[in-house]
Amino acid sequence: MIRLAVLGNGTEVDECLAIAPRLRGASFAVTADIEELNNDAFDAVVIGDGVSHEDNCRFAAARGKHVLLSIPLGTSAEVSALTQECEAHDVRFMVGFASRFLPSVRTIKQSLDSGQLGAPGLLRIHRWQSAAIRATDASTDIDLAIWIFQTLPTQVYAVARRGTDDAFEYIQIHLGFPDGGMGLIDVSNALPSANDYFSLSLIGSVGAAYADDHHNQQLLFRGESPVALKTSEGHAARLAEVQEFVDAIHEQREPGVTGADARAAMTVCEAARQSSECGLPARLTGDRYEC
Amino acid sequence: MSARPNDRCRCAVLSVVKHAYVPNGVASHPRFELVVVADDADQPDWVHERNQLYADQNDIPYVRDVEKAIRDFDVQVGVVSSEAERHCDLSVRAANAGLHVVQDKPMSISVSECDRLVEAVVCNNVKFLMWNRNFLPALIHAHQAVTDGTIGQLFAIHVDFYFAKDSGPQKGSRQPGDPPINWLERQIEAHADGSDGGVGCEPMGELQIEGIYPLAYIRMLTGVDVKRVFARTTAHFHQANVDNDVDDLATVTLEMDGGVTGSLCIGRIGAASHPDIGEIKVHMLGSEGALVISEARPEVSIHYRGQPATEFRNRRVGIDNDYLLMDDLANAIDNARPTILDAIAGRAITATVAAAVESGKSAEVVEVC
Repeated sequence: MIRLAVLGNGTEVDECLAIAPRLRGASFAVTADIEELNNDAFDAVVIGDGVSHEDNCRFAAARGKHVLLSIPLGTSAEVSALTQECEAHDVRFMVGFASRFLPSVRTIKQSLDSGQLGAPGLLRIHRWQSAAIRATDASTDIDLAIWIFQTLPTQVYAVARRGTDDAFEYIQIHLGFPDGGMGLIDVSNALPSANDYFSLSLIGSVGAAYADDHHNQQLLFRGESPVALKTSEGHAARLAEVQEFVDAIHEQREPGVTGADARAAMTVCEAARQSSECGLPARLTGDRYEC
Repeated sequence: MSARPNDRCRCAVLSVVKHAYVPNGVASHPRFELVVVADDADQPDWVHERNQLYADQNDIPYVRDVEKAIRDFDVQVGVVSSEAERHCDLSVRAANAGLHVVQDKPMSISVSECDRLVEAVVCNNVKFLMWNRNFLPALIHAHQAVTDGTIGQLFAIHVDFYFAKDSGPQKGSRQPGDPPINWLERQIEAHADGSDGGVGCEPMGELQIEGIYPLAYIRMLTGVDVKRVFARTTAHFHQANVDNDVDDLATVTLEMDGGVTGSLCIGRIGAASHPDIGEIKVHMLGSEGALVISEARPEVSIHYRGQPATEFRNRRVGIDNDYLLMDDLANAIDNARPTILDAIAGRAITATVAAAVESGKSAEVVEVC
């Protein structure tokens, strides 16, 4: 039985508590104090939002605790350093790109992997929310694109819109993959309070798949225009993500999302930011992007 | 030959070699009457055969001389539905003869040809309507919501425009020693199933063939011009597109006046990729909210035992696009105002498509000229 600590004060904590009874091979406890990792009460830690990722990850790894690190991440360099730190202490390091574990996305990926859709040609993602966009928020969708095309994009072109405080309000990222593959991602914080919208479509050479919140709305009638209510996928993504972390520890293998995956996504994210600032596409040269 | 307000307009169909939705759409409005089909005498036999067939189906004469038909049949409107590379030339000749013009897409694959047409339309003070889908119910709804300010100031717009249709042999099906697929022959063959939107000698990708529709949505909903594009294009599905070096799948980033950003995903993605005609959606973001529109709505679903696999399960209903387009032209004629997609707008869209095609080949950001 893996004993998991959950550190943080974001939604991850509530979600972990919600999934705890359904987790196989692990138990959960919430802690607000990183020092508790000094004792043998825990084998692994889920580091959520609201606490220092870098400091806590280093602290945990140094004490032999496996780490599941939630996004947002800092920089690609930081992710590389943390990956090396975990390798040096022989602990598993997983990055929490929870979108990979959404039932809708997993279903599409399974269909792609089985060959039903043929070669991926075009990936389109809309991610709209009311919460502020952090510079790295697009990394989760960039990770999806890299995961689906199984390679880094060779071209990255981005257009961004910033608010009065210079924070991103909107970013649109255009990816070019080898063999003609392409991706378009847009992330916005323009939705009214407490709203969010996600849509992913994948066009393959012999089929296509569509996961769209638009298709999964119920209607509520309370006078005037009806209100659309999204049918949630619940905590299934978080459960699958944490279960993968636990299984990787048990099976002494690399988890489904590695530090290298996160570094790749962050590198592209940084290229997008660079592109949006210079107004030119960033191109992959060696292992770097240059405008 | 100018029409007076509320006069019935006599229309000459100037070549009708594709599926005949444009002249049929024109005839859906009681104000407009098809009276003759005309084309140039030097056209190949297959063109004359299709023109003659359409004339026979509509019980009107076919004249192998465009200018003579215009002179002899007292027409006020020319309806152009020829091969794409002849669109502008026939429209210019119609405009120079004083006719209002209704033209099938694409406007042209040459921006300079569009410039010639814009000049002819302006000089002859006639009306021009590029055929489009802006009056589909969902688009009317979207336009109303935007103009009402429901989502505030629009700052981003995205259109997915996929046609779930096949187009001849699949990519990779060409055997060693086989000749490349001849574009025109493939398009002539495609007439049987109505997928000959790119008919003509000049090969065209989906951006060029169908791009006018989604870009017309974007133009109507934003009201601004596209200034810069970045595009990715590929032939992902069909051997004819591979052999002729034209796209069947494309994505375009659009940077527009007023700081509006947009994107377009377009492709002829194969019949297996969607149960109906294809996923066609508009996503809009504004300062006060957002709007997600499915172009197919309203629709009804029909399912029954023995249903052919190729039959659409969802059928669009309440469509009045043809009539509303022609009503728009009638209003433009009567009230001296532009049509919903006039020659200047059509030219702007052609320039955007040309820039996207160039960007797809060069992998550079391209200014729209």
